[in-house]
Amino acid sequence: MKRTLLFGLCLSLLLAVAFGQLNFVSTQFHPATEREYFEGSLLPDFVKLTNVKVQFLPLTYEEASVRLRAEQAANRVTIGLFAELQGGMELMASGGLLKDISGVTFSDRTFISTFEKYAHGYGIKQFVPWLQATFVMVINKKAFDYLPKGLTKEDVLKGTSKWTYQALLEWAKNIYDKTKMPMVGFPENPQGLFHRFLHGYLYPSFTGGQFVKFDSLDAVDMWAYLKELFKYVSPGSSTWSFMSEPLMRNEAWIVWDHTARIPAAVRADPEQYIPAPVPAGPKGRGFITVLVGLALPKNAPNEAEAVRLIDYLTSATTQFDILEKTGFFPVIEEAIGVIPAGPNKVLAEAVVAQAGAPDAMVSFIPGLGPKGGEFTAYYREAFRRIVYENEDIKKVLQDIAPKVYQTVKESGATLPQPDASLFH
Amino acid sequence: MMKKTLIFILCLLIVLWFCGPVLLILIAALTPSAEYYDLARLVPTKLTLTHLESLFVRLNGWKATLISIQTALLSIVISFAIGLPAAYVLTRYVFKGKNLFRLTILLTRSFPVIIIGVPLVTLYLRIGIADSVLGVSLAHSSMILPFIIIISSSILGGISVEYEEAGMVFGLTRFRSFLRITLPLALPGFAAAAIYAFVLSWNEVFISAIINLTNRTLPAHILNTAMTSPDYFKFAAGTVMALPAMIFIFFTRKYLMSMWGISLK
Repeated sequence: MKRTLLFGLCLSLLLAVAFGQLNFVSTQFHPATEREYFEGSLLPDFVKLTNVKVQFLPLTYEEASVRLRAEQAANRVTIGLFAELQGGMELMASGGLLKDISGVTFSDRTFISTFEKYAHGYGIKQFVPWLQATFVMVINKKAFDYLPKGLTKEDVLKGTSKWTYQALLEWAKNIYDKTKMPMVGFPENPQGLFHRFLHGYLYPSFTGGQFVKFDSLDAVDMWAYLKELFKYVSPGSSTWSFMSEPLMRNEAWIVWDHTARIPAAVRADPEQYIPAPVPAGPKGRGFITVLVGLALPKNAPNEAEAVRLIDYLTSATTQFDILEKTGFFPVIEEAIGVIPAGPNKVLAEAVVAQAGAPDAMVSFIPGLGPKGGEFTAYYREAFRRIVYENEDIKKVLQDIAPKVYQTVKESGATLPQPDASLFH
Repeated sequence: MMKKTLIFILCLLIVLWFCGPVLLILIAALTPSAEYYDLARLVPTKLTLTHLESLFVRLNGWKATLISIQTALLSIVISFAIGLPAAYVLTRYVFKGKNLFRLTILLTRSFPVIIIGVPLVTLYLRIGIADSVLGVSLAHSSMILPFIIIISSSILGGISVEYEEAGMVFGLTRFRSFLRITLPLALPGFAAAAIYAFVLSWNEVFISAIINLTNRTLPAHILNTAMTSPDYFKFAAGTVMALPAMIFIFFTRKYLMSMWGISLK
């Protein structure tokens, strides 16, 4: 018995050494259902196909960045593959932490050219585009009974020029006047992504940039608008982080959130909870595109296995599967051509309508790395002081603007879209 | 009789005040996801272990729990092995710079972990203790040590040095006198300090996450997942996180008040 046990132990050790293990660090797929899908279905299928053992390791950006820098400094790299947002990748590349993967190509797929363009920087190809996501509105169909004059359901769902922030304000006011309930909702909780709405949606739509016009006159108008809108925003917003929850609890009818944080409601009842593009502002329809990439750390072990995993994760079938299970959208043309029917189709239609609107204005999350938290905190501070504490808008903006500019400068990040286009 | 009933009601209210939230968290953790959002129901019609099973079994929370327990216990052993002699010296001896030393011990807590993260992990990788229980325990010990020294020295300060001196008069060495006389008197206080150390190690996330990629402690393993998951998962994770710590505290609760010297009176 003892001998058998000893033999078993030696064999497992030998197998582990012979085949190695691919450590896949990801700052994405942290929620329980996504992680279960990833660890329990997606990766086991890959292991069955290739016999490559993969350990999925969900880390925050800060944790991953510290670990990667330490591994490079100790010259003992254990992370084989790394998944992160475009902005974070750019910062990692600026620190020389990523390998140039221009040699990694796949002949059977065409990556969306915009994403391919943003995968390059600092003289290397930093990552292979993997997934995309964005933020949209989701509307409880009850709200359509209170549409203001001149705005139709069609306008909202198709993102026409009539679907503006002004129209949203009138709509919210109309609901409030008739029901006495503030039914607009945002994920304002610290775990929520409300700051993305401020810098990636409102600012570009009103000023044309995410931060370069932080204290401009257009920005003053924007904050005055937001202050007015918040008369009709549910006070519960400050406790919400995932908007599918208040939607399903009937606490908000018009909400805004990340496409990966609303599928629970849309799947529960796609006819009741309808995704829609965001409204447009005076400068256009600003929206964030979240691009997730796959990169190889410099001196990463198990490179061949990592490339096989990239091949698997960016294949059309896997991209479909990920869309169905998580709400992240494909990045290869072959997969986008056929949108699956059902709730995902509704969601995909909203994303396409938003991206395809004639006044669409793409915002990329600035690659500020550890400074990212500081940057978004300033927007939240401005919001708190202006909307909740009723401070003078100009004074608050003049007070915070230098800090925002300084943070971006210190991070060493390149100017993101649409700010960069203001100077071309 | 009336007085007894009033006391009973008061005790019941206090128990409900403290246990009510724990009970609600447990119920929410056991509520099926479909019923959780049904506003018409406060109490679910049936209970489910799905969320706990998901976190504990399907996401391998049980492995992380074992690692967390090992890490916390080893951290306690290491910090007491170093902290007790330091506390003894601070209490029993007078030396130059004693107060400065006491202050310096606390100053070690003022360094933000994110700043020492890279050099710490680099060193660990070089000497080969990254991704191990020992590695995280050592890091946790450095975090716990100042508290162990300060708490233990205040506990030892409450025990008269004359007991030890009496033992030495009757032929014991200083060490044996400490072992036979002072230690049994201070044990409840040390146990309370150990509880505190356990909770500090149990709840730590960042250091555990960057040192151990594969052998992850429970908070490092599930915290991000819980915070980005629906409410019922948050409650399930809260239960998984709180339960072992509560069981540990339940068995050692009588010592908890001793941290402030009550048992010595």
